[in-house]
Amino acid sequence: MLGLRYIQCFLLLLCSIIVNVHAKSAIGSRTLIVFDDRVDDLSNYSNFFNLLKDHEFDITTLELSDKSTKINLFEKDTRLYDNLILFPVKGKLYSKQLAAKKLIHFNEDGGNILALTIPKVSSDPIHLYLNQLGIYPSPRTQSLKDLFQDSNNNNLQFTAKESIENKIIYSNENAEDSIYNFGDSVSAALLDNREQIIPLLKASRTSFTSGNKTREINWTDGTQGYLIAGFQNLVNARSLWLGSVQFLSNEHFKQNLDLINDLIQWNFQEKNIIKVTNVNHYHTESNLSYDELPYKVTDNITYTISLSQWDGSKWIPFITDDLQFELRQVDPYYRITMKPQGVSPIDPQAELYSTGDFKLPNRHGMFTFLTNYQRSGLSFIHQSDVKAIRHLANDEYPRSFEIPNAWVYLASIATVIISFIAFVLFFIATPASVSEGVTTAKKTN
Amino acid sequence: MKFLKSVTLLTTAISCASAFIIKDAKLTFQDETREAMELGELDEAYRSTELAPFQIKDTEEVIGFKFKLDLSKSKSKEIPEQLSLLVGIPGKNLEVPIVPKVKDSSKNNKIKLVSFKVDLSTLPKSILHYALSQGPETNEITATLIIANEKKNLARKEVNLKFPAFHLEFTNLTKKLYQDDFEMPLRYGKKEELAHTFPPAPKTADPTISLLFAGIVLMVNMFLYMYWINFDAISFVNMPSGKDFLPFLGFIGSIIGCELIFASYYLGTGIFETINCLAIVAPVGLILGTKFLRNFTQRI
Repeated sequence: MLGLRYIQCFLLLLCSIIVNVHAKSAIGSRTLIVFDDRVDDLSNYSNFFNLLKDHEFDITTLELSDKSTKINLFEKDTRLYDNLILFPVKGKLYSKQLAAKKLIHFNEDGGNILALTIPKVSSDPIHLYLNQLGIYPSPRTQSLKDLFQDSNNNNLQFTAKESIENKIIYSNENAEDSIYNFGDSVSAALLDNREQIIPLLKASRTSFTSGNKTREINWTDGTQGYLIAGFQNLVNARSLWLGSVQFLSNEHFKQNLDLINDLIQWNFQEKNIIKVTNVNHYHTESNLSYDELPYKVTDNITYTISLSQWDGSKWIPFITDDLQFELRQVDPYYRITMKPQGVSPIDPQAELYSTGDFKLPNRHGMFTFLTNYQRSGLSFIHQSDVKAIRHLANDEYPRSFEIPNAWVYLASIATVIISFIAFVLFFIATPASVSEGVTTAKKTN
Repeated sequence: MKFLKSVTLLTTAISCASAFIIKDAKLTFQDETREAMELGELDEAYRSTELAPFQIKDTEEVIGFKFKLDLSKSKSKEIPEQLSLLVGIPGKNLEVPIVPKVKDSSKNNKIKLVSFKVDLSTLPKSILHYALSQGPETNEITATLIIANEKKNLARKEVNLKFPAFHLEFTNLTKKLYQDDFEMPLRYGKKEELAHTFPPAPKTADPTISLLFAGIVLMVNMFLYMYWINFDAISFVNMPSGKDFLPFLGFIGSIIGCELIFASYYLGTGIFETINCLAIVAPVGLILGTKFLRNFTQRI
């Protein structure tokens, strides 16, 4: 029996190593885990911490049951950690140290946050922080229930096929029948209708969130509720909320491993990271850049951009069919879906995209050459280049002899000029006597 | 394997019985011209039939769904922990829960009078948008009744209830008349492609017609010369010669030179180069012209 257990542990460790081999964060590995021993025992999550170590995260644990513990996320203005994992925390003492403002500042500065809440503990700063993002976990004492789930220990389980919402983050297509165990103490959250929020795992149709008090209004009903939600801000820092701590516990770790792995990889920026390696735009006919020959209205231009994706260990070409370019002057004049052109000749780790040839509008002014690629689950790309497009110079308009209407006038002018010269010549060369041929006589009655 | 699974499911279904008995169910409508629909007992037979949707003429309709919940055979005689009606379009994950009013029956505490009020005008705009869309896809509103208790409050072999109680479908006329002001929430994704629309090129005359009229102008000029020649109005007898010839040549040459400078300016020569050329040609023409005309006046 003991031997079997050892084999199980060994296989689990081996499995996690194979899954995460070479996986590394694209931004950094300094990770702070804030934990309250009064809420739960840290040793219950040893597999989870081992998984973090396998991902080569440099882990610092901060235990908050000691009241003298201080949480410093910044030293002066320098961020001390790249990732922050917040387990549920009890007590008001830490409300100031972990104030929502500080967490927002940490996130806005590029730090990633994994926040966990459970119904039995009211972690006000974490709740306030999540509320700022638009994630509203159920209040204390309200927990998620599903009376239609057939389990003996009240553990809530959800299948990937029915509950997973975002297929970019959850990449395991072969595991649609996987069942994930969230334990018996689960928070469900209502989500705001924001683009930055990424619903990841929704509650079942028959579930509801209720408290101990009778006649208390349910926080969520059916698929309104979510158990996992992500948030990515405009500087690509990621926050993840999990409505269950038991989801990460050793007890359910093996069952939830592939989802936990996906969540960590996304949250701590080991995957779904895209970057721009090169941007260029030039005259289509001459291949001259803007600096060599500034653009004027109705010029033919080609715009290209190269994108790379972080695969956990190296940058590889990022291939997609929905990358769009915009030419803007307040409003877009053009929105063109770019076509992949293969590996970039400048950077073999990037895919080259091109708009093809397009004609600049017949309007001069300051224009923005913009690629704003924002997809739920992927890091955002905002690449803009503002350039002046000049109007036509006075000698760049079509000449009148190119316009058929003017040919009549030009012929008239030419004949007037020739006739004038001929008239002067004839007037001088013709003797006065020729004009005197007609005689006039005075009429006499 | 599949056969075994089906047999197991069937056996379970036969052996399990609902803890809740729903009697005297009926649907009432706000529309006074419409009579209440008696649904009777919502038993196993009712739940397994395919229900035809009720036609709804008005988006302001209020539907009442009432029934008696008999808990006499249930282990718990209390109001079930979960008693709600999910109204919406399940296929699109758009459902709102409706909480009932529950009263004890005057005769017996084991029978509860449950009434739901479904006010269609208060449903989210997203549900009404899909339910009233005129496309080929029909989205009827489904009301799913959920009655459930915790496992400890259920007797062995008793099961919780979840089934579609009724469906609602708006009439085609209602769909036509509905003013849909629902706006899809903003989501990241590929946007519609745009291309700048250039103004149409200005209209010009047909080159053939232009050439025709330009030819007419030249012909008229030619006729003028022919007329002069025909009536002996032109003669070269008085052509300057001798000492007058060079000033004459300079006078005519300067006139032709000025015209050529104007023509070259029109064809693209810069204004400063044009002024420079004129500054040379014009004084020469003025001096030579004056000299020539002063001497030659008597012969003209």
